Amino acid sequence: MSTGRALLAELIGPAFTARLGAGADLVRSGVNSGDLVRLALLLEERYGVALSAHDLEELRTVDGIEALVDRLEAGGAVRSAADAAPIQSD
Amino acid sequence: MAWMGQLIERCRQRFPETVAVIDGEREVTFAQLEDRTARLASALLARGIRKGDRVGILARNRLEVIESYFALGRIGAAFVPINHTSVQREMLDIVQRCRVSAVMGEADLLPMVAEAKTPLYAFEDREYAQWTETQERAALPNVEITDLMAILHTSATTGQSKGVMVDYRSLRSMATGFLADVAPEPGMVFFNCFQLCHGALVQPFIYMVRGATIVVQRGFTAQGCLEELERTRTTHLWVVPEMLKFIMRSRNLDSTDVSSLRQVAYAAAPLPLGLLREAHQKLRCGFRQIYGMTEGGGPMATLGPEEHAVALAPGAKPDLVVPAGRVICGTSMRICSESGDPLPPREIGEVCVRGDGVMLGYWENPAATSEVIRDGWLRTGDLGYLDEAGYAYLVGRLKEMIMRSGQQVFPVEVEKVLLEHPAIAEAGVVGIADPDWGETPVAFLVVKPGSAVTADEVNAFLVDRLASYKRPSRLEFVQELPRGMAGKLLRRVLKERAMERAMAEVGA
Repeated sequence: MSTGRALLAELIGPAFTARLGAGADLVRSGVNSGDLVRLALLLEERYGVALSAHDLEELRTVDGIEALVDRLEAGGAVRSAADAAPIQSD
Repeated sequence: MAWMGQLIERCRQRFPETVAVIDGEREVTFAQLEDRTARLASALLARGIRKGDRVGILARNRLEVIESYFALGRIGAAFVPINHTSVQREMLDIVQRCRVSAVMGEADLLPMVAEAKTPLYAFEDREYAQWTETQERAALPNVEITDLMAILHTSATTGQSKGVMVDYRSLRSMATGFLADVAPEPGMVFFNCFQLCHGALVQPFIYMVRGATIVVQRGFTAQGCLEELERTRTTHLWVVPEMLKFIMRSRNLDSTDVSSLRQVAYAAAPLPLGLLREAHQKLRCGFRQIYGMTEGGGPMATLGPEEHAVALAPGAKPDLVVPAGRVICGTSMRICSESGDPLPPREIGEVCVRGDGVMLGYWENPAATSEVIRDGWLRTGDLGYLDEAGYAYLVGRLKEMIMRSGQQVFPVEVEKVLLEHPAIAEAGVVGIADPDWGETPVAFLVVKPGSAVTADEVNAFLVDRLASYKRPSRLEFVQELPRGMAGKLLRRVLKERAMERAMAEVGA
């Protein structure tokens, strides 16, 4: 199982994950949108990065998850938590 | 015109240039929203939608949903929101039972209800854009305050969803009562994270009375919420506690400018003390709890920022019970015994409410209505007590209902679907605590003699038959279910077993 599928499987189980088509819309295939919320947080924890809403648009399909994981493994996240400085507010 | 028409006209008069709705890059002012909804109402009239009709709304959160609710309110046609995460048969059941005249919604979702053969109007179509921009404004019908405003569906104890009928009087009562007690300040930017098909939809319409800008997003993610909160300078965030938990976990939190945030308002579940204190420390804002129920018309009681002080004080005990709040102006609350007699303070019974906010009843289901409305009092199904000052404390539930991240799941409904599987003889569903969702359903199954089925097969069977939030988080196969003398399922015993198994796994 690919890394992307394996991470999804941690949340929704391997059997359900294995049944999902690579390009099928995850929510329409029966995945709870809340599990995609958790997936985004899991990716942040595993790769030590802060993901943007733009990054998360890829999490609609298994293909999209794998593409994002590939980018994260290559160090290509939009923002890194280590680089971001807290914004000073009044 | 009744409340919806009055509301948008009044907002046009008082706050014409204030932004009414932010949906991503799109913004409309109150003056624009009044004009767009008048034109949309006129277009719907021209297409045969009449006062007294019912129109389904099938979409994720977006500007057009708010516009549609207003436009239909200006005609006196009831909006019937359809949860876009439902499965097809749940959607068709609502469309057919309510005998809707049309369904408006998102183009990718509307095919789910095509089988019902009602007119479908997609928000993305050029036609919809014409309706809201160039349709000639027609004279709109008189709408009475007692006309039906909406049918809001909830899950059901009997396994079929029930349509909560609310009139314009309900929303007016909720709005005027809430605003009298809460008195929100001007200049609010209210980020609505609840689904607009949920009973909580009344809250943004209440804040609009004070000229609040309403922010909506297609779907909730912690990262998307934080980005939009910063971008729109959100002052008020409207969430379920689980959403707040996810926001606390996001790595974006520390680098997001949350200085605009004045208040987090939450509902549908209590906020665990640890989460309240963490969120207070990181967001540096006030908190408001809203105790509401779809059948009650919305917010029945509230606990304001000053009233959270006890829970936030240093040294507050970890097992401190935070009250749900005190009733809003215009709502009455009492605690009743099983026989319906009012109980004195500090005695535990069923929480009951009364007021103009309470629903008219369930759509075409007088039997179910008479079970929950007794002598004009709505039985909430919550167990609790009132103290001498009128604060309500919730201690449990009468109904066997599971609350998964703000959405109701009734065991009987899940069991009915499980029993549709040819290999399953008996099914018992209970809720167990879950760190992410508050509670999730767990199912115990007895397989028919001579049959065989795996958990994977049962899960695959459920995907098309139950909305994802209703599906059990785990399945346990057992030889028999615990039953009482008359064969009644002993859910308490099942619940204990489910918790033992969950704890054993954690310890393993």
